[in-house]
Amino acid sequence: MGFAAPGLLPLAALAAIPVVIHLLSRLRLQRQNFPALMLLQSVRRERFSWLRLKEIILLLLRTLLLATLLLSLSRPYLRPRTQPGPAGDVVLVLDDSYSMGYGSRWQKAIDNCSQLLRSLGPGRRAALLTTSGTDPFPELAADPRPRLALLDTLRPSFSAAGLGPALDRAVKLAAPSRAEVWVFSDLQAGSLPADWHAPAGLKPVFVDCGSEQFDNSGVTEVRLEERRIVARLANYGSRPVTRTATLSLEERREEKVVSIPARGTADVVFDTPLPRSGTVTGSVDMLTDSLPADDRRWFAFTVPDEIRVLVLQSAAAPADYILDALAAGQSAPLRVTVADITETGRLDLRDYSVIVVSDAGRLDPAGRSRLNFALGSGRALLLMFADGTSPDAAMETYFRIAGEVRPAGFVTIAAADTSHPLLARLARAELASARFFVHAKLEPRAATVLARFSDSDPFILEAAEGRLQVWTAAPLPALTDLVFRAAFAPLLVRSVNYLAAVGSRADYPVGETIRIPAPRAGPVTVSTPAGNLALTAEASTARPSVTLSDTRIPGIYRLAEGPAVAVNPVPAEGDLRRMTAAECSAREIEVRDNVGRPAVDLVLPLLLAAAVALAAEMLLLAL
Amino acid sequence: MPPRTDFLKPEVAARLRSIDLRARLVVEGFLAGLHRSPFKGFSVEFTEHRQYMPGDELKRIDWRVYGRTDRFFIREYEEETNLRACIVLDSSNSMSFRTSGITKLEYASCLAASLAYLLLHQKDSCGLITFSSRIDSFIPPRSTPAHLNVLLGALDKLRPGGDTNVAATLHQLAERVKRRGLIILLSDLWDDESAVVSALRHFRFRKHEVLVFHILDPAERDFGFRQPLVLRDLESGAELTVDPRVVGQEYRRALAERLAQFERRCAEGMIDYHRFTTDTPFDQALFSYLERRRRLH
Repeated sequence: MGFAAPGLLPLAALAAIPVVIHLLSRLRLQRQNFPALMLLQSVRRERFSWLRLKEIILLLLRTLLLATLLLSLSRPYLRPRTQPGPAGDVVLVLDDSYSMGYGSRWQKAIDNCSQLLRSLGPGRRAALLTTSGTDPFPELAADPRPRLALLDTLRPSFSAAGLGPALDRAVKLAAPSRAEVWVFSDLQAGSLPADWHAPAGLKPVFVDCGSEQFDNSGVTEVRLEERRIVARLANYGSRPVTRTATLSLEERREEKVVSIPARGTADVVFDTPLPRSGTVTGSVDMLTDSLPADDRRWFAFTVPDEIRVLVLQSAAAPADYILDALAAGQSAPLRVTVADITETGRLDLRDYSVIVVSDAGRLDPAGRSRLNFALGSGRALLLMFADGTSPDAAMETYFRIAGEVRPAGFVTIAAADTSHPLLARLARAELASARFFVHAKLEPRAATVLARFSDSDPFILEAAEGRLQVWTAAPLPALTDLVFRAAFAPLLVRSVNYLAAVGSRADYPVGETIRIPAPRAGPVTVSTPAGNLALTAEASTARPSVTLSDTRIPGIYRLAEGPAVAVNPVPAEGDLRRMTAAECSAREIEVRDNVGRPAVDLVLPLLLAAAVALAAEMLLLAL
Repeated sequence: MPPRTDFLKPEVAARLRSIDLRARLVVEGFLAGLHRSPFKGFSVEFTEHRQYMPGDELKRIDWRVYGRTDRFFIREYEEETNLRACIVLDSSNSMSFRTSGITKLEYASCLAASLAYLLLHQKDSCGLITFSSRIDSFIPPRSTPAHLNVLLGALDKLRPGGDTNVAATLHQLAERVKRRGLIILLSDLWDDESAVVSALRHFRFRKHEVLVFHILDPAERDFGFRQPLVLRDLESGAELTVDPRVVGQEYRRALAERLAQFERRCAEGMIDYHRFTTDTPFDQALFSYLERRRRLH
């Protein structure tokens, strides 16, 4: 505690006046002879009486009244007990990803941000950026009042944007004026890019608004699987939980109770029947918890009348087994067309949802180019490599061919990602029993390995957001006995169905620019969670489409008389695990619990206390 | 000079220096204030005969006159002096208390002098005993007119002093006063009430009639102090800081209880108990005495 006018502090001693008067009055009490003292001694109760108490309270109130008034003359203030705040200009970065909506994180961030702005001295400038990129005050300015007024209106976004881009913008803004960068974040694990380091001489100060303890679960995925809706629920907490998942599909609702293991996931299969064809939209909800943003997931599926599949075969790798397997699949109506791989350049690939290539190693460059274009325009590919694969057959963006493997004997499938919808409900034993005698050796680049052989080489790769699937061994008896296994047909059919579903992608993360195919070019109306938008469908590409750039709010975005897409938060943001202290230390990040608090002026509280004391005294005297 | 009845007021009587004059004026004022004395005709000394009237008591018929005259005559008598009264006066320090013009001791002395005046003028014997923690003086009862001067002289010289020890002193007195008579106690009775009443019963046991004048100051009765003050005991010197607003009500309640106890227990012991404050006119006390005196006959 300090005093702005310490010279007046001795006046506070005058607060003792009521006590002195009280003591003097006790000393100067009139003395009176009285014969009935023996009677009085038996009835004396003043020490415990209300009046005695009232007298003491009055004395205390009067002393308090004087003390507070006299003390306020010396203008006391409370010094901050925490570390000091910024000394110069400051760029504030507010993490407004939806994980900040958990518990009191957001309020803590806003409070600290507000305190820091208030503590800025005259002439010092501040800018305010957010991780979602909205950047309310992207330039340094001296008057903090607009920023303070705006702070109360800010809310966490639905985005999962990391800190990296916002920090880069902040550093760029701060560098010329050597301003300090203060970041208000929950320091979620992965929020900082692995290769991000603060530039020399400009180390941001992180104000930690998160907490180690959390308990969150959310809906991470909704997919269409064999004409049924399947939702995946994740539990990010350290204890198993039981949740109720509710499917809302048009006017129908279906509830399922599901137990989710600690730090695990669980799938819920809903039984609500889907229409035979057309677009279905809805949502899967969980009972809300402390982070509601990830408790609902919207979906928009197009249920096709039939799935048109093009099978490209070669003489060396005929697609007989593929065709047999596809014919056996009854879960979805497949309309299969077979063509020779050499005819790839002449076919109109837009007519097919899924293209299966039984001998991808023999594709010529023109064929690969067409398939790449088809992939880019929303088609799905299943590439299989047969005997004699050439390294030239690689699709460099996704994988590189390192040669062909002919193991001594055979290899089996040793590892499969059963969390992937493709492999989730296949009998693993059936897959594991299949033997592979020859397979291509692929080195994945922008691709994920879904299954591996026992020699660690990949068997199934996935890339291009799920629309490209690669089998390193084609279903030919000379290469593998998988074709004789019960798991083969389901695996292939499921792959085709999965690719067809992924190919008609209708699920986008919040903030992403979306292109929705339009029936015709020209003005169209798009209904969004924020209201209807009047846009124009452009015909510059092969098919007319509408571009939606403002997708900050989750929900269904539907084109009038056209397709619909679902926009959802990125599920990973719901995992509230935080950066470890070691990580912060390795990146030389300074983390604080709060900003330095400004000195608190105590004059007003003292005057208020004096007023309260006066009021209390009046009240007591009136009693 | 004020009218004679004014001397019945304590504050007026207190202006007179001489106890003799005080007593005489009080009694004369008292007698002048009587409209119809109920006490005339109680003497036992013959004064005259009068003719019998229906309603007269048969025992009062003079049968000798009837034998001589064959007519009924009633004998009338003058009151006879056969009462031995002892005035027992508390002169302890507590009796020196006053908040108005007269102390309790002055009031009691004046009352004692008036009683003595009355008693001796009715040819009764009257004695005076003063006490504090012990018997300070003992003047035996006599009925001679000169005895009044002795009594008044003793009262005039009386000064407060010593502690109160009412009960013990009364017990001593009960043993000392042999011939039965009327005991008139004037005291503030600041002693243990059970012990006091017990001592008074001692007198009753010795066949004495007992008349108690409990004398209090108005401040003792009302406790009318306003501001906090230090009260000092007149005898022990002990001090007590009190806030009258706090203890006043409780004190008055305790005092009323104590006085009620005195009244009840005295009534049980056939002891006449009268309470006066020093602002009570003397005639009330004298009436109380005369009422008692009448009942003795």
